[in-house]
Amino acid sequence: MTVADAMKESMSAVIDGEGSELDIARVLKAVEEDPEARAHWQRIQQTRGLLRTGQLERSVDVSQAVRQELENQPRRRPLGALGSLAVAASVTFAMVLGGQTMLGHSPLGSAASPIATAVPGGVVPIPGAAPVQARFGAPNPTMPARLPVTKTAPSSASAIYNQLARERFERYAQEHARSTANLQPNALVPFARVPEKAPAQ
Amino acid sequence: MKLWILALLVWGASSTLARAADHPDQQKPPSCVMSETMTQAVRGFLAASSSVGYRGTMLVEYGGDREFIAVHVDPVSGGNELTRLNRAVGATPRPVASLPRVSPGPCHLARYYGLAIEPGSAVAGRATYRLSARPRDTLRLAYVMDLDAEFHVPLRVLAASPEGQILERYEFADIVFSAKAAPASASVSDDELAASKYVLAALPPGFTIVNQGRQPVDFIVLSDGLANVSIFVENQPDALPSGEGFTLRGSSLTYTRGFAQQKLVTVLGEVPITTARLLAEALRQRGGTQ
Repeated sequence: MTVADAMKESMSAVIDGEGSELDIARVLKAVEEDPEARAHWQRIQQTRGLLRTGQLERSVDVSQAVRQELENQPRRRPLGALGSLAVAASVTFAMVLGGQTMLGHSPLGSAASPIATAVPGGVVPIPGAAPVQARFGAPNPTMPARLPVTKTAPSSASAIYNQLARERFERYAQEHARSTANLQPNALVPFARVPEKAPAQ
Repeated sequence: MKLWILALLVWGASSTLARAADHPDQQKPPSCVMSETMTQAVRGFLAASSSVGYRGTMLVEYGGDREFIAVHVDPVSGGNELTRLNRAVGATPRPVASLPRVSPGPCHLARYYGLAIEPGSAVAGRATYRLSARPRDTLRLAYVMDLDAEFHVPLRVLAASPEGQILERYEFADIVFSAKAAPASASVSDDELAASKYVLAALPPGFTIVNQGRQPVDFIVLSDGLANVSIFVENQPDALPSGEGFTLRGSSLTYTRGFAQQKLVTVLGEVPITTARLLAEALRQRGGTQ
């Protein structure tokens, strides 16, 4: 199933701040109900971010992205306080309802609630954390290859030490795997993490 | 009057015993309140890595990478091997060998992780149950594991940071179980450990030293039974200022900390950066102050 051209046009209009209330409603509904539409919306977001910042943006919560677009876009027709409240409420409702549906448990949680309710697909809730998309077979924006040391540009010392850390990982990962494999959930996965060019056992 | 007090004491004792009989877990020390089902499940899981043989194919996702890996585990011969199926055509299996380790046991894990069991979905065509290990502090990662209902081998595992960020996942596409050996009882004894030149002024709660040595450089290995971390110590290059940096591959963090004109410490393991920093700062030269 592909995203209909009309829906693509509606999404583009919303992102460009030219969407009507009907467009907004359609996009919200499609993003909530249709995985293809959700994926298409994310691609548009990332492309737009790439053009704007030169970097690939990581968008996790589609509903949040929709809300941000709604908040950022100039209103062509003033909705008034009641109208704004209605849009915000509908988006919030969609997020909460969608989140609860995907999480599959009470938002209040409980001491006995599992860390995650679905490993292979859907949203994996972890108590005390925002829901994140966990899906096998697709690039996951919540799994960064490297975390930045700080949010600002790294200093030269940090850059040097980040490089040293990468080199040390290549140098010592094999030894760490050998020492700890039988204490890890799977004894071979620690070796799978070892870079290929590391010396073989 | 005395008879009244005696009756009260007898009643109190009998009611306490009755409550304990109704809830066997309450007879155990407060630090280890686990049902028998939970105890057996965790014990089976902890023993599986060194006692169950199997052959299969798994998908591993770490960072932005994902790859299929063929694995073969033979606890009888110790001939374990893995083959990276996406790296080359006709890739040859790579043998791997690991040191024997004895897990600290279910009660130890329960002190530092909130453990929960629930029914799991089918993985690789096999029935599973789900074991969740949620850290009780921010010093270790969270795990969600779908374990084989018969052999207790994790067929699907998700590792996440204490903040809920998913770091790594892997899942078997197919698996065939073969040999089952007695769980490994051999471990590295204290006599076999070549003492490192370094010691830790303090250990994070739940962690114990499971290995240490001086080759290829001074190192110390710690574990809490699920979270494992190695510390490697080198001389700090003269020209290098103090600083820190890190990299992440899946759930494995590598944190490197330089102390000017002293030592370069690398902490490598499946722990959050908070734990890595604590360990780097707790490292002392044996018999010295820093």
